[in-house]
Formats: sequence, structure tokens, C-alpha cells
Amino acid sequence: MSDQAELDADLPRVFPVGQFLGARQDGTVFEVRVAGDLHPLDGTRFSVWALAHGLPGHTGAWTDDEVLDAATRAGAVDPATDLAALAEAGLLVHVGPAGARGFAEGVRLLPALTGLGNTAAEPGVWSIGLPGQPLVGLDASLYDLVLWAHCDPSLWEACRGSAAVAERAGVPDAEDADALLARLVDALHTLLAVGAVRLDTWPVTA
Amino acid sequence: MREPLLVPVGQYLGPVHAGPGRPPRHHLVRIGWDTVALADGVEADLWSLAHGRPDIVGLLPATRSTLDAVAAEVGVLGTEDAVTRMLAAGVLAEVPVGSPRAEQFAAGHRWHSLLTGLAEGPGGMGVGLLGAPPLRELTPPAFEVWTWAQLFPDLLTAAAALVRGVATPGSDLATTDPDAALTTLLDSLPELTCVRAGWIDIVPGAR
Repeated sequence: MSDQAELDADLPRVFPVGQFLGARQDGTVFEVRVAGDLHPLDGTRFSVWALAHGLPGHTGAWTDDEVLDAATRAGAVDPATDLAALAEAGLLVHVGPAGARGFAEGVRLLPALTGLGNTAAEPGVWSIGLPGQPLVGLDASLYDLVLWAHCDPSLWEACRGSAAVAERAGVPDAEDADALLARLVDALHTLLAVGAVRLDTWPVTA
Repeated sequence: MREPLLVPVGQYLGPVHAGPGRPPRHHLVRIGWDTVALADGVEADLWSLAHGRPDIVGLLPATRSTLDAVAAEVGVLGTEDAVTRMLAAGVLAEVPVGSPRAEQFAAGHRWHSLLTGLAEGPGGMGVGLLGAPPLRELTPPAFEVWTWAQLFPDLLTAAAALVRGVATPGSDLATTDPDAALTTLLDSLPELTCVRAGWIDIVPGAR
């Protein structure tokens, strides 16, 4: 790991929470739903929330610095204020190196696109996207976690459940829940950036 | 009397290829904590068609008759046995809207939303992927269902909650009649499933 990569690994990553419902009033109000609450955002604040999803193709951690840089390049005047307000409202969450389990206990992970399975050409790659349009590929264990996690009341319970199933099924080198969660957190911006998943705080009510 | 709705049930998990260069062993559909394997070919093709084909104008499958028509249109043959098997497996359901059986279906099934909202267009709120043209502009009732029904444990509760005032004023769901709201909700499903804006699942039990 390079010195810069080590520094990046210590910075909290920033993740968006909620589902964008669309722009209203001639594109001046952007509604984001978190659990049962609607959050109407202006254009600048929405842009900062959208940038917290990451950018397709970016490698490395996606932190406040990356969001602020991207927002500033896009013309935001004071994105730090927007970032703070979004975090205060629960529309962003920061996850430090030691905070993954606490983060996972407080959110649910939901798929936002369709599972497309694997292909004869690459049976080890499991895709998510639109029918006929794969947008992101995962290994089998992350694919299962991403598509099944919504069944559990939290992302952490989903990781525990997936790890237990893998162990019961005798999967070679089955990971424990913390290791699986760590890999999911590493992959999360790649998934969020293409709209494959979203985070919410609404509990399973089944 | 209107023909029952034909509703696809379950979350598509895709084809499963057992190795390089091999055909799909099957296609998996998750229902609750279980999966159902659909045979590659007619069965998987029909289940996909049952979600709708918005690109075939006037042939949005919502009943067994329209599914047969669309299947014939695209050359999927031998459909009767496959539909019977999938009804028995629970990945298709016939729902006689407006009847007690529709209430039973709604009490035992729930909605999950996919995609993201985009912007209002002439046909309603667009849904799709950020930065791309909308896959569909949803009518107001379909948008209400897409937005809110996912927060409720089943479709019956969702319809009742929409009656209580979650629905946007002016939406067809903004009614005081819970039966009418449930009918509108159920009739909105094909508009949503045709662009994979979500899926209908059973109300799951414990893991």
C-alpha cells in the first residue's frame, strides 16, 4: 500500500442514505426519501448528496475530500456547508476504519437494480443492472449479500446471515461476517455510483 | 367480469451458468427466504414476459390472455404447461381484482422498489438511472405505489395507508374507499414491473 493509500484508508468514507424520488417544481426541488420522511433539497445540496454516491470508475476511498473537490469543480460555492447539513439530517453517513459494524447495524442495504446472474463467458462474475445491460460485476458471495440483504433488519444482520449460510453450506474459505462486511464497504461506492444499491434506515416490517 | 391480473412474483436473481461455455442450468427467482428455479427457455422467457414488454405497443401483459398474445408475438411457444407450473410454484399469481381473493393476495404479498426517480415529464414522474433518459414516466398512482408501498409489510396495509393520506392530492389513490385504493394499487403493478421498477414478493416468515 502506498503512503497516500494508507492515508486515504484512515479517512472516513462518506455514503448517501435514502432514495431519490425525482425533481419537482421545474427542477428546483429534489426529493429524497429516508425511511418515511421526505427531504426536499435545493439543487446544490442535492448535487452534494448525489456526489456522495461516488463516480463510476473511481478507485480508492471516496471521502468528504473527494465529494468537496467534485462539487467545487461542478460549481458549488460552499459544499462543506451542504455536506454538514446532509450529515445532520441523516442523509449522509461517515464510516471510519473501525466503524463498519456500527454503520452496518444502523442501515439496511437494498438492491436498486436487477440481478442478472453470471454468463457462460465469465461464470465467476455475477452482474447487476438492467435487463440486457449489466452495470457492475461481483463475486458470488457479494452478489448474494447485495441481493438478499434487504430481507434482514440491518446490513449487519445480513452479513451475519450470509456468513452463517456459507459456513453451513461448506463454502471453502467462507468469510466471517466482519470480513464480508469489510469487502462490502470496499465495494459500496462502486455499487452506489451506478445506482445498483441504496441505503435506507427503514426496518423490515414483515 | 374482468379477467384476473396475472402477476409475476419474486426477485429475479438471474441465470446460473455452472461453468465456462455451458448453457444456463436454470434461472433463479427468490421468494421470501426460498428460491425457485425456472427452466431456461420457455419458462424463464414467459416469466420475464409476464413483467411486461413496454416496447410492444398495446401488449402490456397483465392477464393470461395478454401474456399468451405477447408470447405468440415474440415466438415463445408451448406456454400453457409452463404457466401452470409457475402458478403452482408461486412465481405467477392470478389475482381477481375487486374480489376477496384479491384481498388475500394483497395481505400475503408486498412491494419492493427498484430504480431511482428522475424528473417530471409530460407522462408523469420519470424513473430510471440517474443521468440517463427515463425508462418510463409513471402515472400518479403508479408513482405513489412505487414511492410508498415498499414501506409497508404487505400490499393490503399499503393500500390502507395510502387511503389515510400518504397519497399525493390528485392521485387516483387519494380516495376514501380502501377497496378502490387496493384495486388502483393492483392495477398499477404492470406499469411498474414492465420496466423492472420493482418486484412483488411474498410476506416472508422467519429466516
